[in-house]
Amino acid sequence: MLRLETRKWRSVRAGRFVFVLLMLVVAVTGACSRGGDDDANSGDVQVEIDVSPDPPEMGPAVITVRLTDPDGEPIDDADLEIEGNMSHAGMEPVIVDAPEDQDGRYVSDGFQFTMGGDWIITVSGTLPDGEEFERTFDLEGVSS
Amino acid sequence: MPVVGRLLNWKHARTVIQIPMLLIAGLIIIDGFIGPSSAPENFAGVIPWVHWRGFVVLALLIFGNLFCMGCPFMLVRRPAKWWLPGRWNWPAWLPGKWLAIVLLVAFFWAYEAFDLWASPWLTAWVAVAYFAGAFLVDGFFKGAAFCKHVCPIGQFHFVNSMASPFEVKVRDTSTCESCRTKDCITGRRDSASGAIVQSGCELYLFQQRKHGNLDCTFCLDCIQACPYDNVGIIARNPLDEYRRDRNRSGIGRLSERPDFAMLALVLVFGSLLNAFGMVGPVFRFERWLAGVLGLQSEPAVLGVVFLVGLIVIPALLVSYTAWASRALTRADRPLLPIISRFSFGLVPIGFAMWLAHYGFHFFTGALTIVPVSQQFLMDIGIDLFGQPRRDLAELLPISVIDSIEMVVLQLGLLMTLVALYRISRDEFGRSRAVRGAIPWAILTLLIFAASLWLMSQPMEMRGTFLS
Repeated sequence: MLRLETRKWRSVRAGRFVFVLLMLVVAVTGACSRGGDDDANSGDVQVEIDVSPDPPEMGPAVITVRLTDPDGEPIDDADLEIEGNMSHAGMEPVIVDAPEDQDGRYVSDGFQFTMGGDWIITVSGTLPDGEEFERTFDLEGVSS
Repeated sequence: MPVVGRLLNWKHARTVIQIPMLLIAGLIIIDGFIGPSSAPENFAGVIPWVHWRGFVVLALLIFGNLFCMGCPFMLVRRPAKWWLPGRWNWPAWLPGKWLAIVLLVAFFWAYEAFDLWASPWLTAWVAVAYFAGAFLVDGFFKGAAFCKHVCPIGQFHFVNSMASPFEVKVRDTSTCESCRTKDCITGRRDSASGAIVQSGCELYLFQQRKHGNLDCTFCLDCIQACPYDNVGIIARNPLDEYRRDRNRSGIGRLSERPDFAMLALVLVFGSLLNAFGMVGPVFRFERWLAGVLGLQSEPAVLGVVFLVGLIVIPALLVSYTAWASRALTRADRPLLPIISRFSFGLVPIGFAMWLAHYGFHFFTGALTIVPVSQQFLMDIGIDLFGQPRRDLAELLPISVIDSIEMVVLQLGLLMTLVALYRISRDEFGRSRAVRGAIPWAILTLLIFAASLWLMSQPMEMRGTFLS
């Protein structure tokens, strides 16, 4: 009898352990975050990108970035960098500058898709007032 | 090996290897849940899919089943065995490897259908599910039921370690013949209390009759249990796996284990399908297939692809090949034992393809761990290592990697042809060995050609094909 009760108590403890562990995982998932997952148009600066060729394909490409403030006015004189990563880890990112072309429009300098597949384009920069921003865009289906 | 040998005999040797792996698993789970959603910036995107897979195949190539030895999921077995009954027999209606085969196919399918490589969050959940699965299965069932009947990763290690140069085996068989206690299988008991102080093999591989690496987790239990220090990790010729259809302890004869053969075939053809999922032509094929079948759901289309590619096509190919082999040799044997034995001969070419594929990802991306680590440390407030070096990625130039892949595939081809000849000689006799092996050699060449074609295709790592 004692043995049965001991076994039952152990099973209850095991159940509690698994339950607490899963709750911990759920709590951690919901409560914390690391890194900058952000909406392209959250915050003060609105960011839009165009990719050429469209649809995108492996090889040289031009990424045009449009920066506007919340009123839709173009933002000039920002310092921009564009980083392209494949959705699969382990590939070298493509990092280029994007100098300003005209009113709030910035064009990538020497960007190229080094492989076909899904890409993540990250636009980061510093605004004239010193504010820093970063936005990410998913670009699916770059053909090889 | 004087130092390593002494270390492996130490009671806590395996735990020492497992603890760093547990910490890494913890890091993957934590970063997978709270880290960036972008896989290249997250430990859960980088460590499992770039480093772990690469180290697994390299360890299998130069050593053996090192990653089952260091498996962190097994650390939860001890509390599981303590808290839960741990005495149930594995259900007879789930014999051998059939459940593991279903899970393995499901894992390969899920990897593509849900883009596990691109989702740190899902990757973290896979790791959590693994810990929970190991805890529950080994908590309720006797022995190492999770390793033997469930774990898809373990099955990958078991089958591909047939090509490994090391094996856990007996040094001197005469010592075993005079041994009365058989501690390697029953466990070593304390002479005073009779309690087990060192487990024997929990996958039921009795060293005296153990042959080859199948089902061996390199857990070191038998090495530590043997009172004569007569079991060790010993160098061998991998082709010895194909010498005679021996009665292997805990397994039986391979000709009588269609479940093991199916597992081997799933892994051989899985090596092609897993790489097939990352080249350009596959997406055109999948779009065409979706149109023909009238399917709008990518997981459904992929389900058809994996069912046909991993089960139907291999079954048809090996059935026809075995029939041709039997017809050429005029042997009077049922097809199933022929299929079961020869399927293992294909393992080296399958392993070569896994090695080429996972090796590619490892050598092209090994250094990405540097910027990910730097960023992680910065994000938690440790700014010791400067700005992330995002320019770091490849360990070797692509041209060198391509050359290595070709050599690996050719060695896989060669080893497979020798293995098939040995099996044929054993099955059909020396005079009919070549005739019996010819159909299998043709199948091997087809697999080799498919591997070369796949590796020559431009990569296209996409998560979607219907949008």
